[in-house]
Amino acid sequence: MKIKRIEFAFLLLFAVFLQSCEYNPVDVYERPVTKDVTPPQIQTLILDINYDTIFLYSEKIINFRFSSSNQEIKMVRFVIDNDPKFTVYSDNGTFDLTYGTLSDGMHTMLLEVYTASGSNSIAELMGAEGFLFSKSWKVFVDRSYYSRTKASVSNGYLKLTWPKYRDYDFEEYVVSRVLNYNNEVVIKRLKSTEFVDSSYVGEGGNYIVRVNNQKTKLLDWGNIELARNLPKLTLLPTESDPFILKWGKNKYYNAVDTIKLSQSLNLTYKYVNVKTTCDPNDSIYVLETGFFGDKADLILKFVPKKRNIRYTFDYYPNFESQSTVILGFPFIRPNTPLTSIDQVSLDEFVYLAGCDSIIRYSVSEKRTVEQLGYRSSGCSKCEFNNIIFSSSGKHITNYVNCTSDLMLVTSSNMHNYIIRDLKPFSGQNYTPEIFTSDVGTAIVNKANGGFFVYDFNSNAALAAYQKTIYGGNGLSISPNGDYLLLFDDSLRLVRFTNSQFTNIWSHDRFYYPKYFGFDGANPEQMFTWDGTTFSVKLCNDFSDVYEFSLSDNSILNIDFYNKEILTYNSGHLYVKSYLNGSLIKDLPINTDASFNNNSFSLINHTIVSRKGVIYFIK
Amino acid sequence: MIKRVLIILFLLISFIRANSQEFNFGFQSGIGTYSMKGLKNINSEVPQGLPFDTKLVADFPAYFYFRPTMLIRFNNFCLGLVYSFQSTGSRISAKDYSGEYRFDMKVKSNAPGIYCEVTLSAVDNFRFNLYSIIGPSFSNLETKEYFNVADTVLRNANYKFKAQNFYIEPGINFLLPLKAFSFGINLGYLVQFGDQAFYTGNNKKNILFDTKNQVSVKPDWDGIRIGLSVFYNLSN
Repeated sequence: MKIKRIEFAFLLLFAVFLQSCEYNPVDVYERPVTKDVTPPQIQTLILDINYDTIFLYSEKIINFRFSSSNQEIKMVRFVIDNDPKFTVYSDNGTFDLTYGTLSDGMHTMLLEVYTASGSNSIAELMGAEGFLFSKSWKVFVDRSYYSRTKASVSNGYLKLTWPKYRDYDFEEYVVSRVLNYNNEVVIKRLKSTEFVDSSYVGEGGNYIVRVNNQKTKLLDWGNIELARNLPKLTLLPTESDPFILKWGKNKYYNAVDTIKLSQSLNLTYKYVNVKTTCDPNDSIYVLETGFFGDKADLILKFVPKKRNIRYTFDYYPNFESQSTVILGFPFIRPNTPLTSIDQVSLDEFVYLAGCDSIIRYSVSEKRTVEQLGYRSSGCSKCEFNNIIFSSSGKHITNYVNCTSDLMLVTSSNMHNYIIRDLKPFSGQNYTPEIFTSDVGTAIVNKANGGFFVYDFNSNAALAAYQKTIYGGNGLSISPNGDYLLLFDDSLRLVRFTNSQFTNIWSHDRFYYPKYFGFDGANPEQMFTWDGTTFSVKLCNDFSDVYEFSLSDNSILNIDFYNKEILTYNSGHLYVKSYLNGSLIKDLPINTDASFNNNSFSLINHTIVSRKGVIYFIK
Repeated sequence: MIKRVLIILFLLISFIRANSQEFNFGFQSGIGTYSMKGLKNINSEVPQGLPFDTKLVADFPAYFYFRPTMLIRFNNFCLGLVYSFQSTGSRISAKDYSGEYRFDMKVKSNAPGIYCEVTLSAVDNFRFNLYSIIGPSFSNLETKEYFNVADTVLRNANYKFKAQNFYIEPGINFLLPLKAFSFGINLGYLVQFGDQAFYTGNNKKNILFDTKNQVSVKPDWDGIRIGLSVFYNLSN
């Protein structure tokens, strides 16, 4: 029993030794440190920020260098809005301060200079202990400055204004004018935020404003491109001569030395100076040359008072306002193709404008009273082909659609129209001009000679005309449909009754009258003109109603409703009485009216030119 | 492990008491020196990565070892079982008001062994013996790295490694029996053999590696063992 206790004691002792006598390091190395160290004096050797607020317009390079009186400078850091932006583990460096992710507006920038503590402690050596010196700035970010350069007019001069460059390094603004690509000229260096260009007259230009901020490069500060802005020439809408040109006052009038107006007539391009003025308010010119219907090319030139770097020969057109006018009262927009003018009533005429509209215009009201448009489906083509007016003008025929169908239009209400297929009468692929009366009958010439008298009401031919040798070709039908003018072996006037043709008058087909036709206002009358005598005849027997001498070069048009004739002779339009040939108006013109495309019409005491202008006689 | 050794020793005592001529149960303790070349190399590398100066305040110093022993004595020959526990360690230290850094390594070994002893001479009651111990060595290494700067713990990491090798310790001792007790003094030298390096996580491929010298690190318990021992003769 005693032995067992000793054994147990040994075992217990053994166990205790094992558990408790394991080696454990306990020594500690206490490092020598200096706990209380006075902070160093930091001296700024270089720092490119001299003010409390930084205006950041682009990038800004901040060079810095500091020195410490004792402890070493470990780190310099720039923090913007609590976000470290730049860190350098040295006492000097360069911080490129750019927009980066900064939004427009005010921000706070903090400069932190960290020095060692000088204690030689673990914390110091680990960078966790030291002295911190800091300074803060306000940073104002502005990206919008470039688009805020404006141009305005001040006292008759161009004035450029731009936002102020507010940073401390401002030196001057530099204003340049761009002449062309990669070529610009400095025109002003100044410190204010506005510049008046006293040489600019509205010729258009591109100005660049830069900031010289003492750095090696200029900061683009603004750019403005000015479109040419010169007064436009217009022709005052007068009913008759004199013709008057008008232009507005130049916005930059104080920069203008002289205004010169040059004129060229009817595409000769021989410009003649017709007016020179120094008065900016003098903006009217009464044309001394030029007649009704003339095309006048005009150049209004603004000569700058002061030296303008752009005012060189090659760029004179920039200083010129050019315009082309047709002399007369305009009834249509300029440059609109216009054809087929014809009188349709006492006061109105109809013309074909462009490709798809016929327009009715009232002379007395000076306005369009009706417009008919039409567009074929299935093909693209011009409408209203082969447009023909009846002798009275009350009806109009023309071809529409891809299948060339005939349209009969009532001119007093143009939307009241009917469309017929007349190819069974005229023949396929043949679209002759259709002469119509005011009673629904019409002449439909055939391709191989001869013609039908067609009735729109019954959509049937009333009669066929066919001569053995010449076939026959219908020329016109009287408003009441009772008389036809036609060609076969001779020029004939025939009566058409009960589907029968009865010859009334015939004339040698090779020497027929220079001008003839039915009276649009009097169905029983017609007229002939042989070049010397104008005769009004009864259709019934071709007897004279009256006649008078008329020896002009050509008859252009007759207004049956107002009993007036328009003739042309040697550069003159003559308005004469339809009743006796007496002269009503002598209107000189420059254009040769014998050409059809320069034709004139006489409508309600006005002369209407196919160029789109009207001359009011009364 | 310790439990297992205790059970074996207990069974052995019971067996010997029943069969031997003279049964001695004793305990030996003393000072051992420990080479630990590989671990010392690691200690030499640690300060190089630190921005402040440190000091190696403990570098695997000589330290106590403990060795319970159970012997059967046959006239001039003695045979028995021993269990050795030995430990040492190191510390790299730096401390001031602002923080502390320390890197501790504690290494210990549990080493069961077979003890053989031959009596060379016996004068009066003194015996001069030659002994040798051989057996496996189970080493454990624990590293602790702690770094605190300005009351902020930057690092606090522990790693444990282990390794198994073998050892042999030849030596001499003087023994003075007095009644039922015997008192002795011994001097030996432990030589470790075996190539197993420290490994961690029960994966013998995760070894402790000395990157500077490009060698794996193994325990190195080589060194002198000087100790005192006391035995109790259970046969009395």
